Parts: sequence; C-alpha cells; structure tokens
Amino acid sequence: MRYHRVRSPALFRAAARTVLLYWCVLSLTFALLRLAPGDPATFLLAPGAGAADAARLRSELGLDRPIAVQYARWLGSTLRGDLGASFVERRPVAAAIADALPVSLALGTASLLLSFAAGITIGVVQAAKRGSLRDRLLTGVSVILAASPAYWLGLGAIACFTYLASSLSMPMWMRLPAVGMTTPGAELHGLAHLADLARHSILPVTLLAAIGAAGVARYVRTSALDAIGADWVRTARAKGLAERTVMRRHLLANLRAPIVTLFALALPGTVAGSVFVETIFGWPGMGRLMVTSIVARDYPVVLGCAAAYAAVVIVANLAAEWLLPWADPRVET
Amino acid sequence: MSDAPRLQLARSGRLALAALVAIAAGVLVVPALSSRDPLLIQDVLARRLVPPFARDAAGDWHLLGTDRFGRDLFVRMMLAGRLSLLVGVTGAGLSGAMGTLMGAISGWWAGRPADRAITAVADILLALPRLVLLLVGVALWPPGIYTILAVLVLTGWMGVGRLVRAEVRTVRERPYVPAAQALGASQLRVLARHVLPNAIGPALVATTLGVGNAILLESGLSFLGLGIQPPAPSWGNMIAGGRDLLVVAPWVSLAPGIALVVTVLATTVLGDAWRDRLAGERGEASVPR
Repeated sequence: MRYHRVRSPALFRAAARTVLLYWCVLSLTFALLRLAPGDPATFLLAPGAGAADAARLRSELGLDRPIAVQYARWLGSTLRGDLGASFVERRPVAAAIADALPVSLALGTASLLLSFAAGITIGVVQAAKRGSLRDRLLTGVSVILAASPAYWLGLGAIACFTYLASSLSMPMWMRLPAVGMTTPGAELHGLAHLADLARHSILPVTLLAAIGAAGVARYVRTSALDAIGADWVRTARAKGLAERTVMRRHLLANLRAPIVTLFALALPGTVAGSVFVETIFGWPGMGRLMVTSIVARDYPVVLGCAAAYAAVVIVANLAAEWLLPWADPRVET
Repeated sequence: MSDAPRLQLARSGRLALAALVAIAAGVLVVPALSSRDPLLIQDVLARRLVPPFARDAAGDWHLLGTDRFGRDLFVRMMLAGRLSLLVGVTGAGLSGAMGTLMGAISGWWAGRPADRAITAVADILLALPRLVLLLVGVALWPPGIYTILAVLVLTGWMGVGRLVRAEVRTVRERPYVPAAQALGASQLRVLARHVLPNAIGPALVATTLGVGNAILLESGLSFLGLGIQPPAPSWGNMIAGGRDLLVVAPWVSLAPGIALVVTVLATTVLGDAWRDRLAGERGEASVPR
C-alpha cells in the first residue's frame, strides 16, 4: 500500500535519538546522586553502617577515583543490568524492579485501555451534541475529576465501597476489598485466584481509568469539534450518510492521529496516578516501591525506579512516533 | 458563542476568579483572627474528633469539627491553604518565568547552540514523569518547602518554554522587529521590548493552568509524607492525617480535599477562560469549548 509507505531511515534516526535520550536520562540520575548534599557513600550505605564499611564502600565504588572513571564504571555496570543492591531487601535492584514493574504495567495498561475506550466515546458523544445539557454535564464532571487528587478519590472510594458497604450490610459481592492485590492468606488457584484478583482490581483500575477518561474526553471533544467543522463532514452529510456513519467512519478515522499523540502524552499522568493508587490500595508496584524506598532512604532502588519509569515513557513516545504515519498517512516520517 | 472577539472573561472565568480571591482572603484572614493556635495541642480527650457544626466538651464551636488532636479543622485548613497557595503560585510563577526566559533565548537564537542545548535539556526532563522527578528530588534533598519549590521550578519550565519558543519564532518575522533593529535597538532590547510582550500571552495562560498542577503535586508529596512536614498543615498531609479515620471521622479527610479540589478547579477554569479570551483577541478560530 503506497499510503502506508514508511521511510525507515527516519525511523532508525528516531530510534537512535531515543537511545541517546535514554543515555542522557541515566546520566542525569548519576549526576543527581553526585550533586545531592553529602558524600554519595553516606547515601548508599545502609543506616547503621560503621566507618570501616564507609571506607570499604568508597573504594568499592571508586569514589576516591576521578569522576570520569567513576562514571565509566557506573555506566558499564548499568549497561550490564547491574543497578546495585537494595539496602532494605538485600537483593539486586533489578530483581526488585522486575517484581514490581509487571504489577504497574498491568494496572497502567488496563486503566489506560479503559480510559481511552470510555474517554473517546464520551468525547465524541459530547461533540456530536455540543452545548446540550448532556455535553455540559459531562464537561463539568470531567473538569472536576481532572482537578481531584487520585489519593483523595481513592480514600473516598474505600470509604464508600468497603466501609460504608459493610456497615450497611450490603451483600458480600458488593463490598470491595480496600487493600492488596489478592486476599492475604487465601490459597487460591486457577479461576478462583483470577476472580479474587479481579475483585481487588475493581477499585484501583476504575479509579485510574476514570481520572484518565476525564482527560481523554476533554481532548477528544476538542479534536472532534475541530473535525466536525471540516468540509468533508459536510460532504459526508450532504451525500446522505446517516449521522452515526459520519461519526463512526469519517470522524473516528480522523481522530486516530490526535489519539495516538494523546497516548504518549497520557502516560506520565497514568504513572503519577498509579503512584498514589498503588500507595492507597497497597499494590506492590513501582510507585509503591519508589515511595517506600524514599521513606527508607534506599537510594539505589529510587534511582533504579526512575530509570525504569524513563524507559517506559521513552518507549511509549517512540511507539507513538512510529504509529503516527499509520494513524494519519499525511504525516511524513 | 458570538463571532465578535470576546474581550471579557467568560462568566465561568469571572466566577473562578472570584472564588480564588475569596479563598486567598480566607487563608489570610481566618488564621489571623482565630483565637486558638491551630498548631497547639491541648486537652485532647475533650476536644478530639468533634463532628462539624458541633461544640466540644470545653464549649467551643467548630465549623468543620476537629482532628484527632482536638485542633480546629477549619482554621488548620485555612492555614494549610496559605502554604498550598504560596507553593502553587510561586512554583508555577517561577517555572513560568524560567520557561519564558529559556523559550525566549531558544526562539530568538533558533538553531544555534544555545537553542540546541536548551531543547535537549527539556527533552531529557520531559522523558521522566514530573512526579518521578519530584520524588527523586525530595529523596535526595531534605524535605521542606524550599526543596519542593526548587524541584517544582526545575521540572516545570519545559511546557512554557516550548510555547514561548514557538511564539518568539513567529513574532520575530513580523515587520516591526527589523524596524526596531534598523532604529539601532540592541538585540536584547528588541527581544525584551518588542518580541516578548507580543509572545507572552500563551505563557501566562499556561502558567495559570500550572498553578493548579503545582498545588496538586505539592499536596500529593505532602500526602505521601515527603512534602510539608507536620505539625505544619498542608492540604495533602491533612488528608493523610484522616486516612485511618475514614470510618469514625470522615470529615477530617473530606474538608481539606474539598478545599484542594475547589482551588485547583478554580485555577483550571480561570486558565481556560483566559485562553479563550486570548484566542478571541487574536481573532483566531476560537477554541471549541
């Protein structure tokens, strides 16, 4: 198909730029640790370590060597996937992240998909009936949701669906668990395990998805209103197409490009939301790992998490760049 | 929506402005007038967890009730508002100023090394979610208002910077710029007197919208225990203080949350209304709302 011709050198350039960018971000984490007040050895030593430990760590890290040597050694071990060891859990940072990342990715992906499905539908419905009571109502709800902190909404959801539901002695299936991914101590397997996981997912996923959908709906509504004013919509209507067909076939196809762009833009917001949602609901994901590591002054884990977050965002941006020519063939790559 | 340029803010924008003025007046006046020190803890058993609109055992009336230490929530909420508004306005204002400066430099000298360096730094900072950068900042530096402000400014200037860069590049091509240069004005004078005033509108709107974001980020850090440290109240740490009281005293978390949402909502609505007015002034196709 000629329309979908992709100029690969440009895409390789984008990939090369991405690698360069990621190298810069990693170097930033190295620089931040060196810029922070105090000797990095005091940051990197577990609390309670003695002066002998500090001296040993300093020579181990090569802190007595020139900064360029330190940097080269750090870069070498990072490229080998060695992000150092956690003080608290006494295991490699890479292993801690490998445990936490899938949880966050699952939470983020589920809520992103839901928020895009709901947000696109709501945005298009609003744009189709612009200025109606329904449009204004939905705009109001989405503006309020966007202004509300995720952790506050999370506490409200727990208050309603866990505590209030049990004090009103609602049926068991209507009471939702407040904390954790699974019921602690319950040895469930197969379908029962999945059902338990799903029950625990309802509150956090819905909450993240609702906040995301509010943003997506506002953006899609604006893009759709732009598109509805275009000549080709008038033509489609003039040739007698049903309004539903105009919206589905013509409008949605033209919203693909803004939606792909929004996907990359929405990711940092989802990350921020998931930090709070994981903390509130006690999910063992990246956000909670990062927050508990900061409280415990576990610096290797904090910086490792930051590097992992950067990787996710950069990969998503690259994916959006690659998808854009598919979404809108007019975009030159 | 009329076709004529709207020079006045939409009604929603004026309402939001009025709400912000009322909140600002409240946070300044209420703690100053209150008879009790909102940080002081005394007679905990008699005063703690009084529900809203009720009297405690000592006979004092509390509009929004009291927290677990018997401190009046309304006065604390207003005192917290001082910090939140201060951090929000200062944080967004300074990052707007930094963004304007960076954007002006890279837009005026577009394609030159300065522009390339600034754009590269912005790209690197944008590759990390802002909350993650903030978390790294408060992890490495001691928590407190100055750390939060510094990290907010250093992680928040890129959006405004990009806007100003694009605007400056457009304005630079207008005929009055070479005219001013022909009159012998220096580059800095042209940039400051002729280009920036015509390019600053979108930056001001983005900065207004950034206030709400900065308030949300500060309260989020304080909620996690990494921002404003108790006993100093912040809306975030007040919500955190009511986290385990959801069953017995839900008002402890509810009140500061509502204050937070109303404030952020007002800045967002104000920013949106201002953006619409700007689009109207410029005769652009008004942003569909």
